[in-house]
Amino acid sequence: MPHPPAEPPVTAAPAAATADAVRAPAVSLRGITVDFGSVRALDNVDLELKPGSRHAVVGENGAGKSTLMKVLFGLLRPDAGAVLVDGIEQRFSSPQQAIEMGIGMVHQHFELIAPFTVAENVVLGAEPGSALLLDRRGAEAAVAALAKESGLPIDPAARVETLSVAAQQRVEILKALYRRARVVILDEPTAVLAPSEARDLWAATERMARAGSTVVFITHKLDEVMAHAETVTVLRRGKRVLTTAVTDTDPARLAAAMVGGEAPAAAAAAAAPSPQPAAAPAGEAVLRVRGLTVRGRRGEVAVENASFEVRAGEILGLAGVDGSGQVDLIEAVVGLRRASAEILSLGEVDLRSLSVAGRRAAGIGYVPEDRHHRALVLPFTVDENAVLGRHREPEFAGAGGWLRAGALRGFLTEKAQAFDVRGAAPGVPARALSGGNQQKLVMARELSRKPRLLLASQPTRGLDFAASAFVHDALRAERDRGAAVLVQSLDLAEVLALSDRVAVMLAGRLVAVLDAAEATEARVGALMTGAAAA
Amino acid sequence: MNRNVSLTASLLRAALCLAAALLLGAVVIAVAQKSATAPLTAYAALFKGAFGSALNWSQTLDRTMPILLTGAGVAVALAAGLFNIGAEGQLSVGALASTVVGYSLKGLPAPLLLLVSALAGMLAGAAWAFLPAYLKEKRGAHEVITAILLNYVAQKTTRYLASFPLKDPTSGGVQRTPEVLATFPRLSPQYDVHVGLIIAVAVVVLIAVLLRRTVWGYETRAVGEGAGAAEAAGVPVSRVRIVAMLVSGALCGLAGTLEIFGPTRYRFFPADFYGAGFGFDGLAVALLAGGSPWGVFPSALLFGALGAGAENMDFEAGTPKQIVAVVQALVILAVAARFVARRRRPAAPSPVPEAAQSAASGPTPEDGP
Repeated sequence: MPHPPAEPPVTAAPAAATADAVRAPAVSLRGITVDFGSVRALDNVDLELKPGSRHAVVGENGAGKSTLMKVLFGLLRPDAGAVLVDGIEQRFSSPQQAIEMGIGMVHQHFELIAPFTVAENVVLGAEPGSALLLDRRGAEAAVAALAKESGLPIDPAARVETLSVAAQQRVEILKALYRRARVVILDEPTAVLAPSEARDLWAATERMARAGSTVVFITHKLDEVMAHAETVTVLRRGKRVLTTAVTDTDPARLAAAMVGGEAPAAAAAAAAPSPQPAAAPAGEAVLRVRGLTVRGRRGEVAVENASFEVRAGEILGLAGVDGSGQVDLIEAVVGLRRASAEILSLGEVDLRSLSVAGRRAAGIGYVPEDRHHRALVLPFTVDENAVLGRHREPEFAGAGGWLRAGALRGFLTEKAQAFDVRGAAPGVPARALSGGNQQKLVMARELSRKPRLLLASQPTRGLDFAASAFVHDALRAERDRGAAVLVQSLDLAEVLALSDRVAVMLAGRLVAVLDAAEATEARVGALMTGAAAA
Repeated sequence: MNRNVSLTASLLRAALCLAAALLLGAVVIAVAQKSATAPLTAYAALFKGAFGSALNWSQTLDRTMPILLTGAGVAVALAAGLFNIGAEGQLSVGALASTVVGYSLKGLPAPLLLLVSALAGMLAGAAWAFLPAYLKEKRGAHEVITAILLNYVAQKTTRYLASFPLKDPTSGGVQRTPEVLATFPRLSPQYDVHVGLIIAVAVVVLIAVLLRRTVWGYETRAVGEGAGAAEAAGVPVSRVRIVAMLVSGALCGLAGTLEIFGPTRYRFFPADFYGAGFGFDGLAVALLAGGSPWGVFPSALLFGALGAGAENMDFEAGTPKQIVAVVQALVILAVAARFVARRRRPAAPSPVPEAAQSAASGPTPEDGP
């Protein structure tokens, strides 16, 4: 579709209002309290959002950040407290009302219709044109104009499914701006972005703030707070413990406020991760891959001719922007995806003809990216989840195929203690655990078989830094035990902090494998975005 | 979750669905009979017809028996995340297969004949369920669509077979097979209810225990509740689904066998057997039970009672017995509405796959020919 000329008058588009014409309303949350059953998720929390500024909200998992944002966006009605917009109390019963008051939200998981174009997605629900006929050209022109003035470059005629994650995020922001959002909530916006993409995003938020909008963002990264927010609010266990100008604080103090009391060493370390190289030099290749090609769900080539090895006693980090084929590569090694390869072996074992169960028996441990769909059966009890994949072993399955419930409970109790999985009492469903404790349960299960090869995909996604530090320590301990460890993460800082070697993927190809010494953020960042050749 | 809590909660939800259905049914009766008191009279007669005497109880239990099995069968498939809408077809195919064995194997002692016939019924039901399962796993065809189509094939084929090649030459104008050579003994000489009830109860208990306590049940539930995680853990997802459908079909086939081999009901396979409706009742019962095999007991008893009490409601209160079908349909609607309501809260996924929601409003027992 040709790019439409910008001439047609953009009559029906509500976003015709230019970005700097309207100042954001002053929004304040007063005494917000939210109870989930017997759990108090938010306790008398205040939040003042000044127009034209960027406000960071930080806190550990379960501190109430997302809950607070849901209240602001009308997704949750607080049990007590008030939302004031320009001094007038509002009772949002749906996001629709929040949107009408100029509040927009970009969720961590985008809510876009993949086969629709950018313009169609942006105007959805507020379409220009008559009831029967969508003014496609008008919509595209309006979106193009909005993209230009807000510094969020996008092709309005492109189909969303063809866009990168960063571009999809821009579409989500444009969706909010098109509805005249002057207060934009971003939930962990850089979790899925490469460093250069994150820089573009921050530049756009700066521009929005200069134009008078308010940007609220949730993050786990304190360096982002320091660099890109004017004000920061720290939540801990549902309470607001600190609100301050970032110029009056530093990461150590923020970390201390998040975890309470003095900043523990683990928190400080996680706040500024530093590489801890392997104590011993890496041994022989455990996983050997040559000429691995994987087809995607729709038949496209997702991984093309990848060759690499992972050695005993090393962590190989896998870097790349989202959708570069990392997940496909790991799933192909686990046996979840059909793939062709000249060599795909674990030690002496040829993996190619083996099922997932066979590969696991050969010594593969796997910590999937998607905890809720790949790692855990959420409605299952923690006991049942703790043995998933090992449930056929004689230890857990008695004669005649009866499960040994007592053995399951005993195994769970032992592992929950060893891995500090809080709340994992026998009989509790896995969905009742927090994200960090779910991940600890998965790690406990996957490490319990002492795998020769451990594959970990996004192992700390969505975890607070105490849980992240725990996971990182566990991965390093596996390496030091002599396992070959492959860690994939979209967080480049995490890859660099963990890895002894770094493999970089770009558009389905493995473009480089670097030693830790060569793998600087600038170099890897350039490789993963295609800005530099290997 | 604590299983007792969830059981109580699902019982409560089922009771709410029933209450809503009875209330709406009352409105229908009141309007149809132009009387505000008609619903009370009708429901009283319905209740009396179902539970008023030992004889009524016997009739209720006799109707409950096959629904227990089809309900448990559908529940097994649901546990694996599949909606076995082909229960009715599997039941009729199983019934015919067991009948053929039951009148062909002359000279066998009665208990052995019954056993072999039941096995034949289960095998045929399983075979009929294998087709949609296999097509889903290997070809990606949706099991609801293929199973619905196979219901028609089962209906027409059994009718043809019972009308022509397998017709009893001595039955004259009546299109049916010869009579089977043995029947299940009654539990008590005065009443119709027979040993099949004990078999059905035992099978439901067995299924409930196996699903909860064995490796087979664990893998089946894992596939149903989290296929992605099960796959990543090395559970052979396709095989588990196919086996669940085979078990489901076998239970439906057994239900057909028990119907035929009852001492009073049929003893032969009538050409128009399909439409007995117990397969579709099983779907409704399993949904009302929230997929829990234990919940199949009260749900099946409810549907058995509605079916048994309908005649008396018609006779005593003058309320057309078809109203019962309306109430049953309203129960299904209430269950379906609950699934819709729960889907809007992503934190609480329904125990039933999507297909169940669209199919729940599908065929009712009255859809038979």
